Amino acid sequence: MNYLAFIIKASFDDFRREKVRTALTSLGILIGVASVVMLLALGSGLKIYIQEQFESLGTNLLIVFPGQVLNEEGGFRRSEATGLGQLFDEKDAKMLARVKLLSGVAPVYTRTVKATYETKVKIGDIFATSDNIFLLRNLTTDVGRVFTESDLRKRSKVVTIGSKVSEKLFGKAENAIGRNIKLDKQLYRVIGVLSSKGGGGLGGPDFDSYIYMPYTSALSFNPQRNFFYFYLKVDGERNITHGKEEVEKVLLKRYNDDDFSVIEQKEILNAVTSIFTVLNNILVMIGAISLVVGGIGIMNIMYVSVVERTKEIGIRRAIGATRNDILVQFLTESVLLSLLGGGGGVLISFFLTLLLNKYFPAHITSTSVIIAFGVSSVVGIGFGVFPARKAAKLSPIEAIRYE
Amino acid sequence: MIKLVNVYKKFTLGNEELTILKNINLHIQEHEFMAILGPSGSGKSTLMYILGLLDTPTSGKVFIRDIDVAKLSDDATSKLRNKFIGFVFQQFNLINKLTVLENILLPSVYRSGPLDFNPTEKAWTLMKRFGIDHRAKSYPNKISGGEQQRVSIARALILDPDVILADEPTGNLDSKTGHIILELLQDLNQRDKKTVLIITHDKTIAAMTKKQIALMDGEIIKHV
Repeated sequence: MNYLAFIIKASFDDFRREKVRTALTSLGILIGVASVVMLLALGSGLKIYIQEQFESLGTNLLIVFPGQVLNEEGGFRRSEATGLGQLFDEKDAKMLARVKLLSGVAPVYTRTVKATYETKVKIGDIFATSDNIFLLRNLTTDVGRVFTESDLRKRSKVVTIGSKVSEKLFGKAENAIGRNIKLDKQLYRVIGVLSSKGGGGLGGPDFDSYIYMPYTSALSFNPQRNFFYFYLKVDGERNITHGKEEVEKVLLKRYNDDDFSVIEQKEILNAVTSIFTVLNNILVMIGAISLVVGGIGIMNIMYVSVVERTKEIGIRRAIGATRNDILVQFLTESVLLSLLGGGGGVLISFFLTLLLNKYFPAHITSTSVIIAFGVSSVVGIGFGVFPARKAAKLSPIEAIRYE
Repeated sequence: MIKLVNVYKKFTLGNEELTILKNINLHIQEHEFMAILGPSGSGKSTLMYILGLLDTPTSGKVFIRDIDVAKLSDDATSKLRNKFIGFVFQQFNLINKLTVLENILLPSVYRSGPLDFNPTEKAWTLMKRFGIDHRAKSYPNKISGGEQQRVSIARALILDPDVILADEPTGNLDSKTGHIILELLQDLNQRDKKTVLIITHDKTIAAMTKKQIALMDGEIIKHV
């Protein structure tokens, strides 16, 4: 029989005999691997979640902000350094609408308002914008309709409201249509209720609490018709970079280059993702500490095992085992112990992920499984090598005399 | 075949230096059946460990087939032990978590080169010869002392070594079983043409061999 096959079988025989010890020893690695794999799964799930959220808000988008939003490395600048404010006006919107590569421009003025219907109150955000916003941000209605260009032109005092606003004020969405809600002191007629977009968790914006109205009819809130930012849709993904340059060119006619920034949706996504990636990496490192602790557990047990089996080592040496044979035997055992824990950890994280998937798109990648097994083997070798060397270095004569 | 030249073995215990073996000169020929006789503390076990390449002398030389074993690496020594020597111990020294068959096969696991026979078949032949084939799947601590010693002799023989070193092979057995084991070792010398060395304190056991060496306080006092 092949030597490795023989010692693997012998190791498993040992594990069977020492079930409790084996289980407890590999438990350390199991917990370590499970936490690392779970954290990696949560991390990649979070990335997918953020990405889906962004994509559901429209693709091929450019956003024009006042001031400098991102730093050179692609992260967010410190907020006090950003010159947020009502910088843009209707003239900018009209100029941008003439850029050929753009298929839609939506200027945005937003503020928080108290929306009331009869006695019910809901705090929401108004979006005073153009009808393009619905196209750009993939917004559709469950009931009723979105406001149109004609509403914009006619300065209709109409609103299309988010599902949470409708639920709070009217209960069923059907009841909302045609009712007048009071935003501060102005009355607006509800013409549609939007499909839910989610959000609002994780400290992000709560998309379902928005109230959309034509900016032309929001004069009591925004008499100057100024805007915080623009959403722009570029015609085709290939044209994003070019479109961005065109937009910058247009805006530079009126502003300095550090007064505004044109940002791709993807850049914001990257900045957000990089924050979560850093956070996740820190958590994974904390998880990895338990792997080290598990490894120390294995080392400890292997040292005990070497002492317990001194006589056995002596017998094996007497009948011809080399130092290397003994080293390999003990190393194999510690690696198997570690892999046993690693395998258990991966299995447990699979089940946990399945459970978690009902609430969150946690996702185990094959890379994290490979990493888990790789790391467990390395832990097994790293922490097993010292006891194994101790076993291999025993003098055969002293070992065989050991009682 | 095995030659010891001016072999000394010394230990230091605290400040005291103990000489276990003094100026041992010994030449063991092929196919010899020999006893090393001596009371406990005479150094006979140490002598066996040196002959068996498990221990090294403090000074002097050990030759096996004219090879100076001091010049061999630890690995080469292990391989030589594996190929050349079969041990039979007083305490049997079987591994209790391996079955009888696995114990007998263990030396073949550590064999580096290819074998020109099937070790499992050979193990069965040996077990049948020694009447322990019905114990093949048993564990050593579940069988009698006599059976255990026969297992250890089978283990010593599996790789067909030139020399069998038996250290008090009957020390843990009753006289009847001991006698069977001794006849078995005798048979190995006569039928299998093995060099058999028995280390013992018992003159009647030593008398069964063709040649005896008496050891006292680490010195050879008599060649017979």
